[in-house]
Amino acid sequence: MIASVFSAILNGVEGTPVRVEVHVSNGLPGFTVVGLPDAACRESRDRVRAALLSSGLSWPVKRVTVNLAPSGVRKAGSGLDLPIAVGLLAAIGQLPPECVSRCGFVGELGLDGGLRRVPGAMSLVAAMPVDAAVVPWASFPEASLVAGCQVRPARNLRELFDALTGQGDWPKPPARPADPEDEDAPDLSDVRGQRLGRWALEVAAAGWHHLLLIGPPGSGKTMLARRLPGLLPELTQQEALETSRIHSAAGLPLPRAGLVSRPPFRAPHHGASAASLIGGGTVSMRPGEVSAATNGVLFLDEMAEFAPAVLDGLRQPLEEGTVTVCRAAASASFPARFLLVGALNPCPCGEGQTPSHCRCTDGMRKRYARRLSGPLMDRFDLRVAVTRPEPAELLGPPDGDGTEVVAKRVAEARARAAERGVMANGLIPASALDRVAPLEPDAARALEGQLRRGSLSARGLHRLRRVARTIADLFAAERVGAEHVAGALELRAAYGRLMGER
Amino acid sequence: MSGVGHLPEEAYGAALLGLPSMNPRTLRLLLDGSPPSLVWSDLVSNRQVNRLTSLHKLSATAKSNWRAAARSTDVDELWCRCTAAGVTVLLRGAEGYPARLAGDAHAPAVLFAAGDVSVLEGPTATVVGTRRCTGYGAEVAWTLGRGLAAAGVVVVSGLAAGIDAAAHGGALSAEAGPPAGVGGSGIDVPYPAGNAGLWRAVTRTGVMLSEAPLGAAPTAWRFPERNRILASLGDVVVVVESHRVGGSMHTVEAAIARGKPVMAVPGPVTSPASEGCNALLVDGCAPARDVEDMLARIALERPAPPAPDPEEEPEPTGDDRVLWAVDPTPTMFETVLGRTGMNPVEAAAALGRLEAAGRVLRGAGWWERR
Repeated sequence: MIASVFSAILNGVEGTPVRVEVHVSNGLPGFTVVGLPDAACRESRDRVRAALLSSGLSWPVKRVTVNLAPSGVRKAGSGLDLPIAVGLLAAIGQLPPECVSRCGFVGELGLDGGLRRVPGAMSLVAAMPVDAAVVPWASFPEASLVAGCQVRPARNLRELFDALTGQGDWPKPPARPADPEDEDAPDLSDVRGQRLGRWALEVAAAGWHHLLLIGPPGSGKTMLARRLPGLLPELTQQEALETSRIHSAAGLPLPRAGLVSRPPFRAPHHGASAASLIGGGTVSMRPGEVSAATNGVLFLDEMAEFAPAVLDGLRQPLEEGTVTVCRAAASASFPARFLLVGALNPCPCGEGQTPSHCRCTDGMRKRYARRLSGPLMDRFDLRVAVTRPEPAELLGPPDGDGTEVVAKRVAEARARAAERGVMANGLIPASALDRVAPLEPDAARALEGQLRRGSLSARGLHRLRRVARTIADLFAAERVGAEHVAGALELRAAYGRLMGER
Repeated sequence: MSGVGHLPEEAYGAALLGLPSMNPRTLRLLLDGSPPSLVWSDLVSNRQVNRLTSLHKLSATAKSNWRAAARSTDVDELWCRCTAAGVTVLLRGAEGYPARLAGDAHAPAVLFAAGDVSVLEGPTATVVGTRRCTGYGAEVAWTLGRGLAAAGVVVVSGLAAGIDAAAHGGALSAEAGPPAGVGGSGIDVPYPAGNAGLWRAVTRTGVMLSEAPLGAAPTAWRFPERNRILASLGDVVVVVESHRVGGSMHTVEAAIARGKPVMAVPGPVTSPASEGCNALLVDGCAPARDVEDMLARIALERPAPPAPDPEEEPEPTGDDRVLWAVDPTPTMFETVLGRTGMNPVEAAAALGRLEAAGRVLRGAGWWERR
C-alpha cells in the first residue's frame, strides 16, 4: 500500500525534483503530510479530498501518510496537489503502479477536480527525471517548450484518471496559437519633437547602452521609454526560453503561445522594495524585476524617488548580468541582463532646466541629485536632457521615422556588431576597443581636446568610444570618425550639468 | 631653535601669522612697518619691545604663549612647507603685494597666495551672494561670471557654496579672464570640501589668496575678515542674491567703507533670498541686470568681436546653417536639431567643427554662438 510519484518544486527559477511517497495503512483515519511542507502545501489535504470526491473517485478511510522527499528541503506552493492525488490513487490500488512510474505530475487541484496553472511549469517539467509529464491545461503552452520530455495536458482529475487507466484517450493538446501581432505596442511616430530623445533610443537599442532621461514633468520621458522595446530585435530562441522561464517562475502572465518572443518591458513603481527589484523571498526565492526584464528593458521612472539602497542593489546585476540572492535557508542565482532606462526630473520642483521657473534652493537641488550614487550614474552610457516639445511640433504631423524603420536600422547595426563578435557595442571590453573601434585621426583629436579640458575621464572615454562605435554602426561606417564622436558627446552630457549644477 | 638671517623676510611673516591666537589686526599692530625677522628675533630673545608693550589689550599670558610658541617653531621647516606647497607669501609693502590692497588701511600684513598674483592687475569685479541661493541666483551668478570673464574681467569671489561657486563656475567656463578667489581657511585647506575641485581650478588658471596660516581650519571669525579683502580687491562689488542679513551684507559694508561701487541684482520681491539685494536697490545701489550694466560701471566695453576678414570669408556650408541655429544665449542641442532639421550626427559634427574654429562655445549641455 505504498506508491511513489515524481514531481518538482521551484527554487528561484530552477526546478528541484521531488518524490511524493504515499503510504496507506490501517489505523485511525487521518492524513499527514511530512517533509517540510509550507502552509499552502499542507492545505493540499483538503483540496485533494474534495477533488477526489468531486471526480467520483474514492477517499480511503485509512491512515494516509504523504512524504515529500528529499524531506530536508522546504516545499512551497500548491503544485504538489496533483502528484499527491495521483500517488494516493496508486497507493490504494485504483491506479496500476506502472501507469505512473515513468511519469511526472505538477498542478494545483480545485475542489471540483479541475487542474489549475502553477508558476514555473517550464522549470518544473525540465527538472523531473521522467519520460512524460502531466501539466494543467493552462500551463501546457509554456511546459511544452521543454525539449526531451513528452508533455500531456489535463483539464481535470477525472479526465486524467481515465487516460491513465486506459478508459479514455489523452486529450488532444491545444493547437499552438499564432503569436498575435502586438497591436497595442506604442509606435515611435507618436512622439513629436524630441529629436535628441528619439535618437538616444535608437542608439540605446542598437548598442545596448543604458539610458538616463532627465527632463521636466510632462516632457515625454515615459512616452519615450515605452517605445524602446519596439526597437529591440526579436529575442533569439535561447533568449526567449530564458525570459519565458523567468516569467513563468515569477508567475507573470505569458503570451498565449507560451513563449516570450518580444523583449519584455518592466516598469516597477518607485516604492519598490529591494527584494521585489532584485529577487528574494523566504521559502521559494522569487525572481525580481531585474530578472523579469532579462533580455528586455527595465524602466525606472522617477528614479530619484527610489530608496538609494535599492538603486545601489542594481550595480551587481548591471555589472555581471546575474544576481545572486542569499538567505539563511536558501540561495538562488537569477539571470538579470537588462537594458536600464532611468527617468528623473532635474530638481525637486521639476523646472530646473529653466532656472527662472525653478523654485528650489541650491541645497535642495544638490541633495536631490545626490540620490543617484556616482557609481550607478557611471553605468549610464547615454545621458540626455529631454525638453518639452514646442506647441507647433505637438500639433503637427509625425516628424520622424516610425518604429519599423528605426528597428530595421537597429537590426542592421546589431548585425555589424555581431560580425565583430559582440552581441552589442555596450558590452565591448575596454581592452578590445582599439581593435574593434579604431578611431580616425580627427576623431582622436576631438577626444584629446575633451580630455585636456578635463570634461572627460578615462572611464568616460571608454564609454564614449563604445557609444561612438554604435553611432558609426548605425551609419554603416567602418571606422569611428569625428562626427560619430561629436554625436556621442551630445548623448553623454555630464550628470551634474543635467541636474542644473553650474 | 631658529637662527635669524639666512631665511627671507617672508618666512618670518608666515611664522608670526602662525602664532597662537594671532589675528590680522594684532599682526598689523605688531609689525607696524618693522621687518618680520626683527620682530621674530625680539620675540624669541625675550627682549622687551615697545611694540609688544603697546599691544596693551593683549594679556601677559598671551604674550608669553607667543614666546613659548616662537621658541618651539622651526621657521626653516615652515618655510619649506610653504615652498613645497607652491605657496607664495606676500608681505605688505614688499614687492609682489597686490597694489589694490596696498592702499587699504586694514590690508593684511601677511598674505598667502597660490597661482599667479599678477592677474589682479587687470580689471576686477567681486561677485558675492548667499550660500542658500535659488536656481535664479545661481543662473544669474553663473551668467555674470561667464560674461565678465569673457570680457577679460577678473572675477573675484569667496569660493563658498551657492552664488560664489556659481560665479566662478561661469568664469571658468568662459576660458578667458582668469579668476581670483579669497579663502577663509588655510590656502591648503579647500573649504567647503565640495568646492575642492573649483578651488584647484581657480589656483591653476588664476590666483587663490588667504590670510589664514597654512593648515588653518575654516573658523567662523575668519570669514568676516576675509570679506574685507573681497571688498578691497574688486573694482566693483555685485551682490547677486542675499538674505536680509548675512556674509554678503558684511562685504557690502566693507565695500561702502572703502568707497567701492556696490551693485545688486534685482530679484523677485517674494523671494527671501533676494531681500537683501532688493533692500540695497531701495537704498540707492545701482542695479546689475546683466554683464553690460557691470561693464559700464567699471568703464569697460566688451571687446568687439574680431571683424570677419573679407578675404577669408568662409564658403557657406552646412555648418553655417547650424551656426545660425545657435543663439548667442544658451541653446539646447534639441533646439538646434529642431531648427535645422538635420540628423543628430551631422549637426553634432558641424557643431564640433564650429567649436574648433572658435565660432561656438560648448556649454553645460548646450551651445552658444560667439
